[in-house]
Amino acid sequence: MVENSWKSQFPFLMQKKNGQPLIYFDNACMTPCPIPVLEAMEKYNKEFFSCGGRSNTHFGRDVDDKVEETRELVAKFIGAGASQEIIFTKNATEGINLVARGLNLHAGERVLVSDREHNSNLIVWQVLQKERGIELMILPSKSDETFDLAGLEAELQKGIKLVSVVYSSNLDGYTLPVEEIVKLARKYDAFVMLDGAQAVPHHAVNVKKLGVDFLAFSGHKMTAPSGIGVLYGRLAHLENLSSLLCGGHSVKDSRYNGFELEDIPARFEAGLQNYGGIIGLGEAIKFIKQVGFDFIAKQEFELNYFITRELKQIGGINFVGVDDPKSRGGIVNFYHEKMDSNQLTIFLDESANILTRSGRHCVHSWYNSRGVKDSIRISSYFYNTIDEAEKLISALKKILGLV
Amino acid sequence: MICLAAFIVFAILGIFSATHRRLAKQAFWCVLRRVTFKPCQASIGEILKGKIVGWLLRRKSRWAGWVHRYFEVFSWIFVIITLVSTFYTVKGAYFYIRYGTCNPEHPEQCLISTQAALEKGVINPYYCNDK
Ligand SMILES: Cc1ncc(COP(=O)(O)O)c(C=O)c1O
Repeated sequence: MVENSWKSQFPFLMQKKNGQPLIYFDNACMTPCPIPVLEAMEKYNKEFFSCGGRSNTHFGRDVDDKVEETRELVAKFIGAGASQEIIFTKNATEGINLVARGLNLHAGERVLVSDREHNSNLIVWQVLQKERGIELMILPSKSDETFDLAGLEAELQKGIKLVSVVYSSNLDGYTLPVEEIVKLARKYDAFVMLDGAQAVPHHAVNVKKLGVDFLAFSGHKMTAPSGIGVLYGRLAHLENLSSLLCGGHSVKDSRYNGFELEDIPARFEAGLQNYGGIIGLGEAIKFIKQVGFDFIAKQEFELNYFITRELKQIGGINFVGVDDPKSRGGIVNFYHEKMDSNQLTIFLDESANILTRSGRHCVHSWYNSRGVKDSIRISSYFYNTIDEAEKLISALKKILGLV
Repeated sequence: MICLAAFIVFAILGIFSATHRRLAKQAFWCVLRRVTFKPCQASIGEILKGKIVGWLLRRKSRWAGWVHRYFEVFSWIFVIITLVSTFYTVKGAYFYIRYGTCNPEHPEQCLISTQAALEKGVINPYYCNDK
């Protein structure tokens, strides 16, 4: 196990409570910001705080430069063809909603999602089912909880307009076979949108190589602040996409009887933007590149392997999702037969200053379909260490010893 | 039962702080069982239990297991003790306002008896009331 010193870069993680160091295992929900990100945002707020896109002061131009610089950084980071293909959003949910509503799907057109979607990539389709009469297909996983490619092909043969699936699941960290999914979708002329909220922070993503049409993700799971996200869309598709919001910055000109839309991507970014957040996202990307995806993957796997192995030795534990830690990124999700998951999370917090997450992780549909009440999710990132994992296991053993 | 215990404690603390008033409100809805927690949301009972048992675990106390197992029983005991002591406090306050001592039968035993009540000696409130 390679120990690392990345943790010291995160002021949030350096806190103590009751003399105990903070151990943060809720990275699938949100990651804290490292010093360079915090400093970049502070610099914006203190030194060149200004409106972007409309201010002719030198501060305004500085903001524009930074925003476009970040757009290019994001484009390169995910292998997009051009920076116009990057739209800044509030979060992944907004990106998915923008595509769902902007594609102008008609009654009877079919959208396929997997059976492990975050509510962000499920509810909007259910709403469109009601509003516009689209058809929503939910593709069941195989018995081992992996993605059913044969099932997908069978559905594609019946005609699917869009395949919208999670890239890596927040339920169990499982990464879907997206290359095969895109290949199959191409064969049957379907669009593909990927919910990359749990993928982009954890492994290298190349949208061009993948051939995916849309990809949405958020900054707050990759050491950027909350309130900033990204939607990637192929330029050709963006031309035909309607905006979710319209108003200032999204038009070149307006009259009492009409308007002229801005070019892409500005037409999708109506209203003043989260400039501090965009700048923070740019710094976060630089930071992650410095850490490197090889290191991230290695660290997450070793932690996952260790935690899984140790948990298996504690009686009464049931794992959620796929079994093999290799397929689960940084996530271990489980429930105990005798102890309520919410209670377990609170005990970990109160007794050992270890932060985890309990509940249904916004994948309620999966839990309801399997009759599982809830679970506790441990999600690690590159700054977590084996020492922290050992403390987690020891705290869990102590707590579960109560029942 | 923990909801009732929490309500009593937070309602008293709520006199002094807004945070506790909010918790008292949560506990109140919990008592009425009108609260519908989302699956991801811990109930106020779970939070309180977590705080108490967590504190004991931190101190490596053997009581942690006991409190965890018999939390409901401890909550009942706490509520009964609180209700009984609240009854005596209210009774004492009533006597004090009415007779100047919280214990009219033995005013010398009441720490906050007024001078007048002490000088007058024992006053039997029931006797007075009969008059
Ligand atoms: C897989 C997945 N998709 C979508 C989302 C929603 O992201 P956001 O809250 O940034 O919109 C999350 C957040 O947890 C997620 O894990």
